[in-house]
Amino acid sequence: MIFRYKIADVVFDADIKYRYTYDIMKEYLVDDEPARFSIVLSDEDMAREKELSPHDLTEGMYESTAIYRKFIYELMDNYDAFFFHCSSIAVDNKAIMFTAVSGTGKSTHRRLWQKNYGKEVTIINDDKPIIRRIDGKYYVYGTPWRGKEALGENIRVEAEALCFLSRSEKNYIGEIETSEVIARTLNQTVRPKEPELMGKLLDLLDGFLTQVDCYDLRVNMKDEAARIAYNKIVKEKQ
Amino acid sequence: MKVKDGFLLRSFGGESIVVAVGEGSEDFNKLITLNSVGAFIFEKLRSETTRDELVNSIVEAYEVERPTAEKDADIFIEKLGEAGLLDD
Repeated sequence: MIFRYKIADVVFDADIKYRYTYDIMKEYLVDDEPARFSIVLSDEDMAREKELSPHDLTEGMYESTAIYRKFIYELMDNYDAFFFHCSSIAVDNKAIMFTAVSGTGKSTHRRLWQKNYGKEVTIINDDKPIIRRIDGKYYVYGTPWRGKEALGENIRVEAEALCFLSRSEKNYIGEIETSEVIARTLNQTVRPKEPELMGKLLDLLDGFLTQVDCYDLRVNMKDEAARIAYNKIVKEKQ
Repeated sequence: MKVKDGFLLRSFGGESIVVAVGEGSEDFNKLITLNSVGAFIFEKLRSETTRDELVNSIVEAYEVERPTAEKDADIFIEKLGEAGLLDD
């Protein structure tokens, strides 16, 4: 069945077959705006998704990630947007992102922020937000693809800080030059094979890294980890 | 010699980087950063160029002595070669 959605301020139709996909996307349903494009998955799209997935998933999960993949490529091509693998929160209406390879503890660190600064923290998206450039500014958008705990909201918040997270016994935060985070940034996004699209993505990422404050954030799992990060990113900026 | 197809040179994060596109681009081990001379050499090697021609164009563009240009050319030819970017 065809449903109409608005994600990252882009309205589109999608042909949905599985209940799982319908459920995770239902917060993003719209009916009163014209669609810019349609997503209809082919058998090859589903087969490709299964091939790319490291785990055995349900058909509905394959469908939902296949739709996300198509959506992201369309956005990259025509709407100055890209996917960025991170846990993103809003504090004081500014987006703070924690990025790292899976298993490092993005969500664990996000949880420490909630525990210590709960009233100030809104989760934008815990795993797969979209970043979009509008009039030269970069915004973090909530999406239906929200990670294991399904945390996130249908909101957009201007990008402020990007933390490259790693584990460490001792907590540390410091500003980091964009030239030092090139590979770590590129590894957290879907990279197109088409040269033209890859060029667009690199231009977007380059501007994104220029706009946001980049931090090298090394943390353990104690409250102090969130405190030093909060002090540097939020308090010192006030 | 010349660089293979399927690589993109781009200014990114304050550096010049070379990334793979097309088949094999999902494996990101091929990320290479180049300084401005490196990027210049990469662009020259987009079309078939001999070492001598390369050295001449570096001398011209950067107003350096020939031995310096030769050294630069050799460093980057080796770097690009090691990364598998050159057709022989």
